Amino acid sequence: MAAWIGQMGGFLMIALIVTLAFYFINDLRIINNSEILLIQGKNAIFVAVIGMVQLLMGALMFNYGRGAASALDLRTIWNTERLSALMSACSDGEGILFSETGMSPVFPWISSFFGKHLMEQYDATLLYVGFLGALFFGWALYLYWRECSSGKNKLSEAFLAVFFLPGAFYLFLPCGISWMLAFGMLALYFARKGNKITSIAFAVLACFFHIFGIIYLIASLVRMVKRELVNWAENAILLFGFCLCFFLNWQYGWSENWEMLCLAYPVMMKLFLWLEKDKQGLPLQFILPIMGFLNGYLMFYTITVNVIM
Amino acid sequence: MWKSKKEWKVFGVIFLLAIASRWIMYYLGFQIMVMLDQTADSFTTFFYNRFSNCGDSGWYMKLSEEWYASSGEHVNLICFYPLYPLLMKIVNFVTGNSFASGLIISNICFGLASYVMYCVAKMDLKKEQARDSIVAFWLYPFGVFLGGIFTESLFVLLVVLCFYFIRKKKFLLVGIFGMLAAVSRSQGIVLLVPALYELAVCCGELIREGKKEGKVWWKTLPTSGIFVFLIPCGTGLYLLLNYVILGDWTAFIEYQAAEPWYNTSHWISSNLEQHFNNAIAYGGLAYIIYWVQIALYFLAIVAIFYGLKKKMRPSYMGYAGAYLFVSFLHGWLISGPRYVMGCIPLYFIYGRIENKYVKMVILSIMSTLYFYYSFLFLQGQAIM
Repeated sequence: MAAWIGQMGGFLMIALIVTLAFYFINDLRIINNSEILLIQGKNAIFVAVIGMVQLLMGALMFNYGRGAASALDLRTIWNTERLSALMSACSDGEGILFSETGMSPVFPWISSFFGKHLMEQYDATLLYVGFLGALFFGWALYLYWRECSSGKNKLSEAFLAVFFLPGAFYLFLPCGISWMLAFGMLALYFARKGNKITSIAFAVLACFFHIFGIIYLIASLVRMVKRELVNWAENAILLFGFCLCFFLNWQYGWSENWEMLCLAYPVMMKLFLWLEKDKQGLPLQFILPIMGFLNGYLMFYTITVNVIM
Repeated sequence: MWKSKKEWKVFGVIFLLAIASRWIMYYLGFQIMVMLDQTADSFTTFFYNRFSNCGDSGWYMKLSEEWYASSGEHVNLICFYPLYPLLMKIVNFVTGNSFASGLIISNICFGLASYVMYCVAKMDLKKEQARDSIVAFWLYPFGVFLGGIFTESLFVLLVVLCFYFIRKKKFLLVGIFGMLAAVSRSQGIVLLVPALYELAVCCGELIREGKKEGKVWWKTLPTSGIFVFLIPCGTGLYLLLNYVILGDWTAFIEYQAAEPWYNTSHWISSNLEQHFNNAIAYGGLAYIIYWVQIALYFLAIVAIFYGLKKKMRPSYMGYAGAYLFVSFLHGWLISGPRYVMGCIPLYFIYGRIENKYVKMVILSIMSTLYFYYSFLFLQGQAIM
C-alpha cells in the first residue's frame, strides 16, 4: 500500500508537469490553432492510459505465467537482455557499448542524471523518462501527420492504432527508441515546413538517441535538397531505411526485433491512412483489433517465454 | 496598491484583521489551557516560553544574536537561510531583543502579505473571491506559524510581491523580490518558474506584434527580462554564505543530512512511501504530521488540476506545482504541512470555487483544523 501511494504521488507529479508543459506551449502560441492543442492534450491522456494499461497487462501476464512481481518491477517482468543492460548502465554506471546495442549513451546519461541527482531510484527514473518519451512521440507524430494529411483522414483513429501496433509496448519501456522516433517526427515535420536548420537539428538529436535515427537525417536531407518531394517518395525513403536497419539489426543483433518494429510505425500508419482514404484496403476498425491482438501476443511471448526476439 | 484613500482603508482593515486572526487564536488557546490547568503562567510568559522554544524559532534567535558559526556545536545552523535572521539582527538594533524582533518582522510581514495577496487575487478574481482567498490563507490549519518566529510570513510576502510585479511586468522588481525569497527559503528559487513563464509569454506577444510592424524579433524583447535571473542569484548568495563561513559551497547538504534533520533529497514516491510507513509506525504523530502530509500532497495536486480546468493563471499553477515538487523532495519531511502553507495559488483556487456550499464546508473544516492544530502547537506537541 505504501509503495502504491508513493508511486501514485510520483505519477501525479509527472502528469502535472506534462499538463503544465502543454499549457505553456498553448500560452506561447507556437501552435496557432488551439484546437490542435486540445486534441494533443486528449492524445497525451490517451497515450498515458494506453501505456499504463500495457504495463499493467505485462505485469498480469508475468504474474500468471512466471511468478509474482509488482507492476512497476520492470527489471523482473520485462527482463530482456537490452533492458537489463540499460538499467545496469543507469544504476551501476556500466557503459553501454555502442557496438552491442546500437544505442548511444544519451538515454542512459539522461536517466542516470535524474536518477542520481533527483530520485536515487534508477528503475523509476528510467520508467518515467521512457514513458515521457512515448508521450513526446505521440505529440510529435500527430504534429507530423497533420502536416502530411489533407484533412480528410481519420487521424485520431490512426493515432490510436499506432499504440496498439505489434511491439508497441516497447514505446513505454525504458529505451531511447521513443525519443528517437519523436525527434525523427519533428525533423520530418520541420522539413515539410521548409525549416531546414531545425529539421537537421532534430534529426541529429534523433541520431543521438539511437543509431537508426540516421533514417530521419537522410530523409530530412533529401527533403532539403528536393523540397517538392511527394508523399510516397518520402514514405519510400523511410521504408527503405527501415528495411536497411532491420537487415543491419539482423546482422549485428543491436536491438530486439520487436523494438525494431517501432521504427516502422510512422510509415505503416501512413500506409493505413492511405488505404482507408482510397477505400482500397481494410478499414481501421478491422486492422486495429488484429494489431492489438498481435501486440498482446508478442507481449505475452516476451514475458512468459522470455526469449530475446 | 496604495494609490487611493480607499485602498489605504482596505489595507488597514486587512492588516489588522490578519494580525488579530493570529493573536485571538493565541489568546484563546492560552485561556483554554488555563481552564484545563495546563499552564499557570501569565499570557506573556506562556507565549514567550512557547514561541522561543518551538521548532526553528530558537535557532533563528540564536542566529540573529551570534550569526553563523564556522565551528563548534552550532555549526549546523548553516542549514537556515540568512534573510530572516539578518532582518532580525537589523531590528535588534532598535528592540535589543531578538524575540521581539522576530515577532515584529513576522507580524508586519503577515499583515502586508495578506494585503498584497488580496491585490494579486483581485487581478484575476472577483472582489468577493479575492476576499475568500485571504480568509482561506488566514484559516490554513497550520497557520499558527505565521505570527511566530518563523520565515513563513516573510517568505509569503516576498512571493506575493513577486507575483504582483510579474503581473505588472516589472521584471527588475520581480528579480529583486524573487532573489530575496530565494535567500529566505530553499523554495524561493521556484519563483523562477512563474517569472520565466510570464516572461516567455510576454516575449512571444511582443515578437508577434513586432513581426506585424516588420521589426527584427530580438529588438522587440524586453531588456528588463534579464533581471528575472536575479532569482537564482539568491540561491547563489546562500551558497556563497556556505563558502564564506565553512569554505564549502554546499556545506549545508552535509549538515542537513545529519542529526537532527536527516534531510536529504529523494524522489517524491519514496518520500510518500516513507511518510506512509512512519504513519503506521508512529501512531501518535500520524495525525499531526504524516497522514496530513500525504493528504495535503494529493489534495494540492488535485486542486492544481482543478485550477487549470477553471482557467486559473497557468504561471501560478506552475509555481504551485514546482513548489510542491521541491517541498516534497525533502526526505524525512516533518514540516510538510507548514511548507504547503507557502503554496499561495492554492488559496486563489479556493477563492475561485463557485459553489458557495462547497466553499462553506471547506472553510468550516479549515477553521476547525486551524483551531485544533494551533491548540496542539500551543500545548507543545510536535507541530513542526
